[in-house]
Amino acid sequence: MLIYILKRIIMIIPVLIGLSLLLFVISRLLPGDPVGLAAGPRATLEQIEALRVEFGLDKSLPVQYFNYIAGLLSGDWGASLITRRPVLDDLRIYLPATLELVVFSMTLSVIIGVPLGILSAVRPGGRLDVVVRIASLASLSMPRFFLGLMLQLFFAMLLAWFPLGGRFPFIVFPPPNVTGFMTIDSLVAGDIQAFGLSLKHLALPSIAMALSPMATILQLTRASTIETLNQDYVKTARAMGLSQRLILFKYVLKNSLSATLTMTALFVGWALSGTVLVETIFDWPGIGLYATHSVISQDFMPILGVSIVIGLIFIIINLIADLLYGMLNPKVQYK
Amino acid sequence: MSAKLYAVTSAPNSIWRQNFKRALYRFRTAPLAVPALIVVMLLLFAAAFGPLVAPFENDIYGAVDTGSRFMAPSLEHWFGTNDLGQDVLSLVLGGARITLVAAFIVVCMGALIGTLLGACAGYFGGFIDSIIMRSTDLMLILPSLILAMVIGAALGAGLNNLILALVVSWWPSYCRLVRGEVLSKKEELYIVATRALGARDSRIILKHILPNVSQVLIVRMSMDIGNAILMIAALSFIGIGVKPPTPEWGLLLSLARTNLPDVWWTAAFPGIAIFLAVFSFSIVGDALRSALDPKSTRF
Amino acid sequence: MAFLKISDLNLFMDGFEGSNHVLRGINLSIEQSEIWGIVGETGSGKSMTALSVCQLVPCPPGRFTNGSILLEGQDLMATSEAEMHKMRGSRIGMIFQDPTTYLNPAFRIGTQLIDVALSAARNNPSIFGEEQVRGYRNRRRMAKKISIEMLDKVGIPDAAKRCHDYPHQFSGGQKQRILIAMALIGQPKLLIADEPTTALDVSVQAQVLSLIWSIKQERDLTVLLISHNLGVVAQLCSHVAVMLEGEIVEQGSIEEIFDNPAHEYTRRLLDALPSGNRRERLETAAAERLASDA
Repeated sequence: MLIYILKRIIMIIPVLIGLSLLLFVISRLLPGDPVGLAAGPRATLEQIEALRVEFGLDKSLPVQYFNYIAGLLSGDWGASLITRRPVLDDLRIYLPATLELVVFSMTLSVIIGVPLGILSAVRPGGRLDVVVRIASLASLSMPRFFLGLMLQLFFAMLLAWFPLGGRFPFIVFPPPNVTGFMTIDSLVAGDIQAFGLSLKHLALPSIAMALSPMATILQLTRASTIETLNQDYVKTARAMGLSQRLILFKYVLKNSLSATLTMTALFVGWALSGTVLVETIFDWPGIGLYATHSVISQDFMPILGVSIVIGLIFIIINLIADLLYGMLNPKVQYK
Repeated sequence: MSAKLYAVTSAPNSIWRQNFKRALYRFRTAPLAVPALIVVMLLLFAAAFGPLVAPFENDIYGAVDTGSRFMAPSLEHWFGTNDLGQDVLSLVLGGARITLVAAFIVVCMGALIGTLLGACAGYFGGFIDSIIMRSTDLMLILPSLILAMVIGAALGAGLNNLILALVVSWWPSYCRLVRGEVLSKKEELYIVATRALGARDSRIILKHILPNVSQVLIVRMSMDIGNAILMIAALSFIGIGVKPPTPEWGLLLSLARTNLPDVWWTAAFPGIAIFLAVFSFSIVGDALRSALDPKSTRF
Repeated sequence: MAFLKISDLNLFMDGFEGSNHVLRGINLSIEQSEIWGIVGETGSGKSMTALSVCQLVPCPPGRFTNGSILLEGQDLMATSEAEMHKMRGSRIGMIFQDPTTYLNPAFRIGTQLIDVALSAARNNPSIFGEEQVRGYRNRRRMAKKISIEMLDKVGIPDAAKRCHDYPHQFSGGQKQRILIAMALIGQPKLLIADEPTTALDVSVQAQVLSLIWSIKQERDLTVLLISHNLGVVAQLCSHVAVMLEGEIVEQGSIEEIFDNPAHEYTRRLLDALPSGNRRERLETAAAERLASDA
């Protein structure tokens, strides 16, 4: 098992090299002008030339790539033009906020999506199933940014139940930073009020984030549950007199989950891209907001940094999904 | 031999018609398929003739009338007016063309590139396969929104750059899909027989394999149009895509943000337009899938 | 009163192209501790008869029009699903054809057995013995104990240890033994075995059949055995019913039927049975076919 995990971790390395190569190619070979982008719109010709040398862009492409990789590995991910700080430092500040949002919204979408998927699979074509499936198609069609805006409009502006945006009110002292997760930090500090506040701030962005992965998870769970329900061993469980609840939520769930899991992980990875939109709307200080700010001010290095981080998270989630798949499927042997 | 082959590859006319009828029936009975198809038709109509039927055609091209700004929905301005006094209905109608055309181009180009590469990878296998598939895997590591964002940021704003960025991030999923299909089709007897008859590779791929993949492809593409619309709107919303005064839906929504909550209509109608467009395209795609694939479980 | 009495059972299966009359008025009367075999070819409705007794026919597409199934006087057709559910496992046990697909691959067999025992104990606490077992923890421990005993009884060596294994770690015959253990852990009076040996090797078949026989003797079970194999039926059963296209064409004690088949189809089935003078029978069969062709 341990050896298998190690092997899988080692297998990440070529993927990472590929990812960096891809981003390098995009940044260097496309008809855009990275130096012009990096120098900002008001740079003079001399400044641009100086930057060109500074970035090593006067060297050959392989050398450039080597330098780029060496930079990535040594923690030099370039600097942001807006914040005037190294990209890596910025990411360290913004990443926990994004992770908190992603973890929260994914939990939400799994908690709602999986049971609904199972229930609608019990009677395919039944009334519940049709309603749930149309609702899930609708949620998939709902643009996150529109949903976010409407949630903001109704629940923050008109009803004022929730704050408009941000992670924590400016006028209140935040709990001391331990994990970077506001909710956990406030619990660690024993500050119930702060916990409530951070939950309130989390609520709307999480819902806006959760809706479409929830629909996807629901559909996947439904499909694999239908398949599982047709298996012979479900017939056995029925004939042995096990209750419908036990059959569905213990026996069928485990079987259909192992089939759903890998796909779900893939979609969780894709859902990460939703943070860009949701964070922009709710002013959530995460890497998505960081990326949009950078895009608007044509600040290229932070965008590269954010994409590397998102790629990394995606790879790690997939690895975890693979390992979980093995745990749910006793037949899989780790080699 | 060749006569037999003919019989296998092209079915008699009557079976064709029967299948068509059955497909039509399955399509009609899929929930919401018919209303969704009507919405799609309306959208296509708006894309074709939007500027002509729009009550304030000049607003689409950036005409400004500050005298009539922020007017609530009324009989004259069904969807109200925005901060520049432009009629929101006209903007939404005008936006249909931009969004739909861009979405069609993205999906078609993405499908074309992906299909060709995927067919080559699946058919030839070996070295070509691993090169193509490894790069596809790489492209799929990054969510397409992020990938398009990186490319869009590198290229700069503008509709053309937006489309280019999306096409580049769009083809890998098609490549993977087509490769899988081709791999399974390749081993089927009629292909083996065609190869035994001495047909060239290009002919086998184009004449025999791709037509058999086309059904899967069409279904996927029809479901994908909605995704493309979402992506275009999202990128414009972030500020990568088109620039004002082009009335793209996502851009309209992003411009309307600052006027909330008092002026809700400038945000609501473009948003609803995006939602309706994506929703109807996915419903139609889903109905199409259940119509074309007799084995698919219906919902 | 008969232990199990099926009268005039009619079942339709509704499909795309109209409905299919699957069971055409089944009548069957089974006394306590008899072993009945139902034989017939694929699609003759024998499995559907068995599933009907458990009320496990999927409806829709299935549709019962009339008929009754009386188990110890209680009409199962009129019993609610909730009641039926309590009877399965505690009054009716069922085992199926292919032991490899009928055990859940993702759970240890111990877990599966314990769950069955727990749910059976809810309806029939006596399976845990005379004393009342209180508390979830105790009941679980008790369920585990009788699961291991049951595994032991069906001949799984080293049962206490092996109940932590997953189904794929057992052989086909062992899996069928586990399924039998599962079906009988709730101490039902009726065991329905739907082709229990079809997917097994011949040598294993005999072992499983003798296992069923010995447990039947010990617990005074009534057994309904579905098979397309007359040889199996001949070995095990006291009575036999022959099914053809949804009808029982002939039924009676095994000696009656085997010695004196009344129906043409039964005769043909018996002819297909390998026996000492098989060669002679084959020759007559060939001669008959030649005669009918000409």
